[in-house]
Amino acid sequence: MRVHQICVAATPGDAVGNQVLEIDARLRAWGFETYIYAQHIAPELASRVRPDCDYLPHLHAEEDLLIYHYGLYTPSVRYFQAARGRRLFVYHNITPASYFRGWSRELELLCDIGRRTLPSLTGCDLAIGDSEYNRQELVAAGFPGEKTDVLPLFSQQSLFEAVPVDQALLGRLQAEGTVNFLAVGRVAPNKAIEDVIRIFYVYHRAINPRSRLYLVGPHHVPAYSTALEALVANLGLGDAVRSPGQALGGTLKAYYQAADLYLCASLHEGLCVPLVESMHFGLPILARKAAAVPETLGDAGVLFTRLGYAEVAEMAHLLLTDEALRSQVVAKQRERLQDLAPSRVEARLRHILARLGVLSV
Amino acid sequence: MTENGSPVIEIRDPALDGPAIARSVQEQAIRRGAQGAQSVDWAALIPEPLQPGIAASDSDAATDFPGLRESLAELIGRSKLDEPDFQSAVPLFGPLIVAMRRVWNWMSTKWYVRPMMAQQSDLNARSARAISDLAQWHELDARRLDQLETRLADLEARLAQIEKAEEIS
Repeated sequence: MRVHQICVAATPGDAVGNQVLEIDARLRAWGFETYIYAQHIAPELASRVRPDCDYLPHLHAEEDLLIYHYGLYTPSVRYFQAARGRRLFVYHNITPASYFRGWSRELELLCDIGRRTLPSLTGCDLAIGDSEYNRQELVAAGFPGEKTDVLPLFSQQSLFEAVPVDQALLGRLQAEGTVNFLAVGRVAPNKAIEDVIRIFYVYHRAINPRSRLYLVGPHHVPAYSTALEALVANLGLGDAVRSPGQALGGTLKAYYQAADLYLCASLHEGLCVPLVESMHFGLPILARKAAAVPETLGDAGVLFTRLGYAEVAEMAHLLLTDEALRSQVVAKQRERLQDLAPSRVEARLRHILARLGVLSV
Repeated sequence: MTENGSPVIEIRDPALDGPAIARSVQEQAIRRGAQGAQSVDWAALIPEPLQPGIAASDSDAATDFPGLRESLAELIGRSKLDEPDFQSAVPLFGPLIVAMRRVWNWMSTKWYVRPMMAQQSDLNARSARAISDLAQWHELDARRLDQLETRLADLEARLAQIEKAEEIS
């Protein structure tokens, strides 16, 4: 049986692209003939991924399965609407357009249209979210509840284990002897990076000046990045806040290994992958209780419910200095990581394919 | 430090005494504040969102094109030409007639008509894709136009205010 997967972008380090490749690997192992298509393809994936218009000849193949990954608006949604075979819709969440209002017209429009398109995609055999939060958004958009399910993202633990850490970078980061806060992900308004900076500012000024904040992630919204730079300057943080841009593989591993605390103030997350990665690296997590963040953490980590800067900074200090507390938090996070283990996600994928009648459990 | 009576810090691990930790953190924050954390400019932390530099519109009517997305999907869905299936209502000999027509059709179209059908299907699909792309840009342009109109109205209102102020002075 042929299985086609379509996504917007196949690029290294992209959570959706990684999930497509992970699903593809399982499907092949289970004997399916698989194809991947994307609108934007990184050169290193060109041998595995085809341009999305190459799917067109298969549009009428009634015996095929189409898995359509939706995380940003793209014209290929028409293929999904028109496909005659079985259709599985995978919702990775689209950030509400309001977060980009005033920052980026392009992203605001794409997110706006992407969310508006959701109700016209309900006519599929099954729709899944990569978190319960995302599944509920599907139901709210009009997808029949009984035709929805959850498939968490395959964590990239094995990938991190396989790749060697960037020793030179790790050495430089550790040589400074500072307490390192870490925030990973796209530098975008929905991540509320300004709140991460403000919390760090209080910690840095009132508790421990020998500290650094590393903001690791790509900058897709130039106006927002400029405003953050101005905030750092206005708060007099200067060199204490560092934003090296996107990091992958061994470089990202070095940032995780050199960090002492993961700080997340995100206001909107469909599923927060850096939290899962922090669990893997044994990094205590202090995160805002918002969107799918509590679901991603389960009972693990420490949440803050609103911006009491002084209290959040004190909590960070406690996590960094109370060894017993830190150990318990990290242990609970490792326990939570087991729930998201690849073997469990794989079993979940089998269950979903069984619901579609293309695989027996 | 706490508003609405609920704690800022929430710990859900049953192995930890979350409320006690939250209280201790709150007390420590108060103590540190009392000792004078003058190095912190609390006024700079007023929890205002960063100010975007671009004016924005709340209107959502401009991108509502009823039926457009569905009709584009239908266009793509119909882009491939289907061969008609033969049927016969003739009793007894019907299936034989159908089989003969199928064989004849297969023989007569295989090398000439079918390649042309494939070409046409491919052209249809690619045309549908191009129209779909154009429709997307149309939606984006409609939103841009909506935003520009909002900004223009805002600028005109400001200009009118300035002119009025100048008249008075």
